[in-house]
Amino acid sequence: MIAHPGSGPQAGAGEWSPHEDFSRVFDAHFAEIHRYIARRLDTQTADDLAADTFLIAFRDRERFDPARGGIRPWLYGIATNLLARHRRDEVRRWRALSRTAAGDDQEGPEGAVTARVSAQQVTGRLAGALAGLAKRDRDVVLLLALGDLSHAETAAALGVPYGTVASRLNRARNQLRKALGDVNPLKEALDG
Amino acid sequence: MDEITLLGRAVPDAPPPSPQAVTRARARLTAAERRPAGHRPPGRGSGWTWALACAAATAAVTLAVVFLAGGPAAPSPVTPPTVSSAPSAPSVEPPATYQGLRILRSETSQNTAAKITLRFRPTSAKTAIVLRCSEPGSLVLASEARDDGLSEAYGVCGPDGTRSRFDDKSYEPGWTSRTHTVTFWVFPPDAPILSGRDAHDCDRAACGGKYKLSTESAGAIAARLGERPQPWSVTVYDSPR
Repeated sequence: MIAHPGSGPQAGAGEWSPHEDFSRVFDAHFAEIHRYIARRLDTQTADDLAADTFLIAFRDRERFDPARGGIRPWLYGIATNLLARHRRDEVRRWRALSRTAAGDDQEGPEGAVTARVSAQQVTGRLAGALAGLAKRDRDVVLLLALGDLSHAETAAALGVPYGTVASRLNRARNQLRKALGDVNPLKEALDG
Repeated sequence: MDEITLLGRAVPDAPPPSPQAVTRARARLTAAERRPAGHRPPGRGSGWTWALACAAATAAVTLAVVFLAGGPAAPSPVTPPTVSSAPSAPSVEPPATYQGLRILRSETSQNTAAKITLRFRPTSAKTAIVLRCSEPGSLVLASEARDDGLSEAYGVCGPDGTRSRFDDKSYEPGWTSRTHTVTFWVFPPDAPILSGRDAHDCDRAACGGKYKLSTESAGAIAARLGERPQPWSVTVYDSPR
């Protein structure tokens, strides 16, 4: 609930904004930002980075402009910038998950017998592909996949044009598809 | 299902943040919110900060504003705004109590682009000032001239009864030892007033035909707009004696 004269009011009818009431921003979005970070790194790191995200957002609240994107993209953008400092840790995590999940796939005969492919069963392959993506491409796909942002929101979060998101996504999608063997295993499973 | 959806399902989920993590994060944020001048825009005065309570009043339009020291700004021409329609206005009559506090002073204006000046002397360190605006998205300026400079705050009257944290103006030393004279301006949502980054980026009193809202510019904005029949009220609540 802090506003600076330099910021002026936010005139959206009925909308609250970081300029007026930052505690509501925290209440509404802390858990999801924490979850996003934890899924890319780990819970312990997420505790710190999520808190940092909201501190930075509070510090920079004057820069928030609803005309350039909503609060969620704004927060996800800050969180993604913070994640950049942990790029190596994240890549290690994806590689580790790739190995672990691959091992899980091979355990027991049931998986081979049923051939029921689930999202969990492709985790290893996708995690391996994520580790190999360029960070800028990985940010795009994970904002879409984990943050559930739209293309436009992802563009706002990263501060890049919509077309850039589209091209990065296309590039990343191709790599993910290759990792999956150029098929959609879930679709295969459902069709089969 | 495409790769992105599949990816969203395949990446292991994470547990929600622990209550301890939430508490720690909230505490850090609260500390930052209460941190004084260091987070203010450069060029602003170093006066006190005053947070007015944003009430949660049933069906009323309430507002939170924060007083910050602000420098004067020269007025500049603005483009006359389009006149918005005024549908049946919700009541702006203040409830008799707010968070256990009683009304100390209250005034109502029948028009926006108008001001109310309240004089009051708090009887306790628990004081809340609540604005209720019939027109959603109304813009508010509150200001008080003090010995150490002018204090100003902005806010938006929203229709959702937004409740803000009760902040700490009343913790100001000497809060109860003097009479306060605070002026409130309320403008309609389409007033030519800069907001967000536009206001932040504007280094003059006005940019692009819109004002930076300030005590200096309020009169000019009001004169350009003309008063509109949109009731609003401002109420000072204080702890029971």
